Amino acid sequence: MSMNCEKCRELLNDYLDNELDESVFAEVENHIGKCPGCKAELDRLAKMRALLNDLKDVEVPEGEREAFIGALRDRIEAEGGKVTVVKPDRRSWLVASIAVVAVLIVAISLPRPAKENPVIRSASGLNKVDNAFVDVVVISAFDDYIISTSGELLADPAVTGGQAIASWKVVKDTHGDLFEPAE
Amino acid sequence: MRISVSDEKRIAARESDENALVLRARDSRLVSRTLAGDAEAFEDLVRLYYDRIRALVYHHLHREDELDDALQEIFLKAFQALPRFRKKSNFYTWLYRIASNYCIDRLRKRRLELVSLDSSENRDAVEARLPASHDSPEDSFTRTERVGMVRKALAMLDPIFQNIIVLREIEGLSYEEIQESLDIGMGTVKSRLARARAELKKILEDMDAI
Repeated sequence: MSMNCEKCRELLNDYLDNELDESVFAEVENHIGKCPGCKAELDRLAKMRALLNDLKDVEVPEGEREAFIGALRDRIEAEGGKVTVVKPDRRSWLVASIAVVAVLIVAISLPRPAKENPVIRSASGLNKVDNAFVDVVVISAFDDYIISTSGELLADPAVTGGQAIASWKVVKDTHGDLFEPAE
Repeated sequence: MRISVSDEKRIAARESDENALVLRARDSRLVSRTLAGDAEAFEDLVRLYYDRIRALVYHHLHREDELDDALQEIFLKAFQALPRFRKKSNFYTWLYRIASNYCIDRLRKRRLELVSLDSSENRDAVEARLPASHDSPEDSFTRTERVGMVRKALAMLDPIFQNIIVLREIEGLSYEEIQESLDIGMGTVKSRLARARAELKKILEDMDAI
């Protein structure tokens, strides 16, 4: 590429961001070394960056964060948000609820009719359900939301009719000790 | 063995990706626990991101007295919108989007209020935002003066330009993170950022700040 001033100035921000390919970077650097005008422009841009960098450190006064969280908690409760503390024996509750763990089949590409609480009895590989090939997943159900054990919100049944997606491998890798596939 | 610049970049990118995955998994679990009714999980999320969102809001609004209200609104919106958050995106870019949209709206309302002033009051209001003329070379400004000038310059930008400058130059988001936060294409990220930088540079040159 032949480097002229117009081209060089277009590239100066990417040059400062180190976003250029090595060869282009070298050409820009070479041009700046020979062109006082472009060098001055680079200096102005660098000064602007430095000024913006000076704005970065904004100290949070001590205690402000926790006071804010307390006030936010009150506000959420006042507006009817669901704010309850999870009981300490939640883990044992989850293990006990394996008996009612629902396995959802996900239609990867084909639309499927909504189902209430679909249950799949096999645990791995591809399965054919309603003429769609899907990955089998294991999830647990909390109230109105269906959340995978890898932590993803999979489905709001009111919206999706129970359809969700995740992979058994992800579930097994992250929470295999808590959940097992339904037999 | 000498590592080339491109190798170093690749290694750094991979480490950054791995770190990003760990953080994403952490946030994902906290979101899920919140949706399951765990109040402390949402508070943990707020603790993790309070400082960054506070800084983002401050760099837009520049008013300490508006900070608390703004942050309450933003985190409340985030709490209410949590059921719609999809884990395919990063929680913090999603949160940045909520915060950015809020700040841009606030700045636009502020500008409308300025426009509604009598024209002479309007000129005074605009000029009050410019620094006093300074005959000395730029290097004689103190750091405090320079910080004040760049804040004023930022405030003079269109809100969407101010927003992208804050995200990139102050908050240090990558182009991909900005793309995700603002839900715009990569071409738009780059062109908007280029325009924002050019306008900010012009304002700072007029102030003799650079």
